[in-house]
Amino acid sequence: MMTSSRPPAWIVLASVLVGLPACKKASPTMASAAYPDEAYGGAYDDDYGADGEYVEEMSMAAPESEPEPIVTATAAEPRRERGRLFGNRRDKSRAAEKKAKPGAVMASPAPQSPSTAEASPGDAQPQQADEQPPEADEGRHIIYTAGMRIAVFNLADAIETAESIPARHGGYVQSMSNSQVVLRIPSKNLRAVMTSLAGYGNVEQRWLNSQDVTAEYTDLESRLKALEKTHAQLLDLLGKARTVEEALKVREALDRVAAELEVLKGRLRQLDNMTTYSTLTLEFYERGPHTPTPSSNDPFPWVDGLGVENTEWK
Amino acid sequence: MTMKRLLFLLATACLTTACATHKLEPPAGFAQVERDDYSTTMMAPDHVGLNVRVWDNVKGGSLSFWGEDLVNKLGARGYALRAQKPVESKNGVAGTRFDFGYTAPDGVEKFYSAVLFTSDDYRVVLQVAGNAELGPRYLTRLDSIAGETKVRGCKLVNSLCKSAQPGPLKTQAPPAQTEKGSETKTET
Repeated sequence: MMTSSRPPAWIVLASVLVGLPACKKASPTMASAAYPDEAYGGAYDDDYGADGEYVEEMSMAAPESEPEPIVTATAAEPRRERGRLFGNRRDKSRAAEKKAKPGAVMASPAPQSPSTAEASPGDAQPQQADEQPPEADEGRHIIYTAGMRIAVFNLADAIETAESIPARHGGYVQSMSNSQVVLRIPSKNLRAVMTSLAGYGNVEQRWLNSQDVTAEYTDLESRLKALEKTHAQLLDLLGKARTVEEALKVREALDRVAAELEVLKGRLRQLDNMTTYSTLTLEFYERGPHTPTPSSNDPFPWVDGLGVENTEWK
Repeated sequence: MTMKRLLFLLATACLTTACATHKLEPPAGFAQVERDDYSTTMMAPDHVGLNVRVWDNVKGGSLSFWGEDLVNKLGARGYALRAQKPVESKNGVAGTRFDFGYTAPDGVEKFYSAVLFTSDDYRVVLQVAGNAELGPRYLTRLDSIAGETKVRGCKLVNSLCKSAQPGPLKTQAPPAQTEKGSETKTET
């Protein structure tokens, strides 16, 4: 067992700082599936060695019976990622070492995965929650971009009609010109809007693109959760800093985490907006009264260029 | 030297006017809005439009062939043929004048007349359109306007420029028209 001859705070800081980049890559689902408890415990042990005093201190801050053992949640996730990258062999050997040190708090099987940390202590369900693709994950996050090119008899009326769509179906007008309107429509209403617009004129062209961002969304949410935990733990550490130097280092780490949190939240908000509202681009052009669309079977479509509309208007 | 000068003058004349597909100076009361080799657009202050459109002709493209095509297709669009008569261009190309009645989708009655000329190289349509009440004022002048139009592209031998007039033509009711359809039926 180690003694308390060395100040533990800088070690904590160092471990936190080392652990931060790995937080980005950690995915709870992947982690829980790939790393059972023994690997998890091994990672923890690997970070701090068998430093009994350190462990004791951190355990005091977050006893095993607490739902969120601070050190565990902070350090374990990056370590799990490292474990994944470097293989579990080392973790297993560390786990074996843990068993050989019954006095060490780290040897206890209490630490749980980040998702489990939110559950009540000793609850076995969190692991289950990770494995099941529950109802909460059933919806996919898809960005829809659609457009229509419509020939109308009265351009002004058509633009006015298009402009009034958000009032009836929700959404807003993103941009407008004398022949084009770009709408942001609630995705659930997109199909209905496109169908109703088809009645306003001759739909010459219609297109719809979709982009599935479910993977990115899920990843962002996971990273956000992990970083929020880290942030909370760093705040806690900041309160425990003994010297100015320690406080500054924690503060520096806090700033980095906070900045990254904002970036993630911003991207999530952006994705939310893009998936909630679909972009519908409407292009109108005016056609003469009752000018039929030239028939592809007509070898001489020259008469389409004749008539009142081609004489009086053009 | 004299020969060279003659060729130069011919080429210059060809490039300026003589080789144009058509020629029509704006009649009194019309101003030219735009012009290129294949079209001329003129407008009157009361929004009556006068317009010349030109297409390349094809072998066998006689006056009767194109006349029938024109009447059939305009009839399918709701135009009702009311009168048909032969005319002649300023340079002696045979043509046919077709007077139509037409009701726009907003219910406004229109007059529309098309004068078709065919030469060996081109088919030319002189058309005039406007609100129906203005028709008499312009339609009476249309023969003389057609007579002021020059149509190019005639050959010396077996020319289409002197092709026969089409027989009496009729417009058919458009297949899926509503009010206009019934009106056209009465015409036919």
